[in-house]
Amino acid sequence: MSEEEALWADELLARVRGAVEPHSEDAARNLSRIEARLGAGALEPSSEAEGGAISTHDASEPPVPTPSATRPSMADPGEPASRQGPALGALANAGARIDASSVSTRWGGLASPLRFGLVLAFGLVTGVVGYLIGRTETQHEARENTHPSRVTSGVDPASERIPSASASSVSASSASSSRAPAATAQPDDSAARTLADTSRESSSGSSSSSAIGKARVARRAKRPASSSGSGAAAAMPAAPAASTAESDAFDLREALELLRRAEAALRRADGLQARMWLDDLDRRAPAQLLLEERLVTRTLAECTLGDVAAARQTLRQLEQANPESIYRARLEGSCVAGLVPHR
Amino acid sequence: MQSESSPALAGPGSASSAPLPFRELYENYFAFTWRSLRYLGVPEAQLDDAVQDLWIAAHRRLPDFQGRSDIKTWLFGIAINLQRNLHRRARRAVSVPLPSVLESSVGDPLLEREGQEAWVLVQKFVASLDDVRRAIFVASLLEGLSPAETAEATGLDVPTIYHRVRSLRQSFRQWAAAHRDEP
Repeated sequence: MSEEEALWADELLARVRGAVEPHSEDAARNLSRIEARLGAGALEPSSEAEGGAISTHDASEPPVPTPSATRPSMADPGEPASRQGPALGALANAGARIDASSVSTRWGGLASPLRFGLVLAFGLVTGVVGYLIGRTETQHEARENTHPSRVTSGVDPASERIPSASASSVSASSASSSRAPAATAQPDDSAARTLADTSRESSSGSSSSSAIGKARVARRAKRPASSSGSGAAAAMPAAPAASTAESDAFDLREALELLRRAEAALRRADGLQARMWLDDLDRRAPAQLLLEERLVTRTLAECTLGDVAAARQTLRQLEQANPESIYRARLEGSCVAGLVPHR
Repeated sequence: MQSESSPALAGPGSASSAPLPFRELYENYFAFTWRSLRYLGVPEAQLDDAVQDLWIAAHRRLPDFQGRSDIKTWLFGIAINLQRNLHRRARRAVSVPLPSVLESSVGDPLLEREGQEAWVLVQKFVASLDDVRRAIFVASLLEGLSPAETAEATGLDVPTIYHRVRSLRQSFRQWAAAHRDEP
């Protein structure tokens, strides 16, 4: 497969990302229907203040999946057992809703002391297991932190806060797998650097098989430094360790993508949609990343929505951020044009 | 401008135990859930119903949301379950034709021309994947969730996600190269 073909595939994904978007009226229309289905007043602030615990809902509502009953295991039979993790996190949150009535029915036949004993025993076992897992992880982290190769030197704080330019340059569609190792690589860690480089190579599609091979070599080189153990734990790639820091990373490419979507929405005069994208960007990106661009786009979005007061406030933020912003020209002709000082 | 620490992320276990405001959640994540369901293969004719079902489920489960995962991955988990149920129901219902993954996008005024052509191609590939791989492809390669978030949403572990994303990207590139000249 040629590099051009790989790039074309990546381009396809990028185009889809920008094209499949709802209209602002979709959000409003569905919200009103949701309200109707939940019952009048279900989404009022008073009920939300109680934690949104709405007990009444339309009986005609189609059955919402109860994952414990309907969701088969997501584990792939072809995957080695050591690589299949328990369904934690979101699935636990999304799926593990225990029906109190069914629990009480199922356990109703048991005497109260026995039930209490079972609950107590379960709690104790859970606690002990949790403690052991926590202790093992703490020891593992301590071992890693004391190893000389983990000591960082000369790391630019900015590069820790925002992924480095090299990490940002990873191609659009390769964000998920290749960004993490690159973003978390330490400057003095040659093995990790090799891994980052090879990830970049594989993302460009030029020599993916050789890149994977190099990544394996880098992983092998890194393994003795990170852990003296062997077996399944040592055979794991470096990804889990990198994943925590990686999940916080938000690179320039992603920020640009969200900004581009917001601007695309603006071109359609869809201020609500633009503001949604910008909210998403604000929530996920570091505060200073593309700050001026975000503020200008938000100002225009607020103008489109007719929210002049908010637009003025955003303009003030822009003035505070950079009174000489080159983007002020974009605000000419907008609802805050009169407030933009001419220099 | 919103602060970086979204109130939507405040679960019972976090420092701020303020309730999650449903409307704010909806405003912030409606587009994400709409796209996710669309990417996962929910036909446009059923999209409104599916989005509503998702948000009603989210509304009902919101008090149980413990903030252990990101709200986005939580919503994506609901979307995966919902899509699977819809798919299963569609397979059982003989009288209802199976949703064509292509019919929904043709003539869709939302899509720009280039994007629409790309979407038609990508949909074909997505439709050829099994449920798990489809979820990983959508989460990682289309929605840009991190491997950790994708792992949470699908219930797999992070190394598996890395492995499968790499394999999916390779498969997609080969598939796209083979179908490049298709109209």
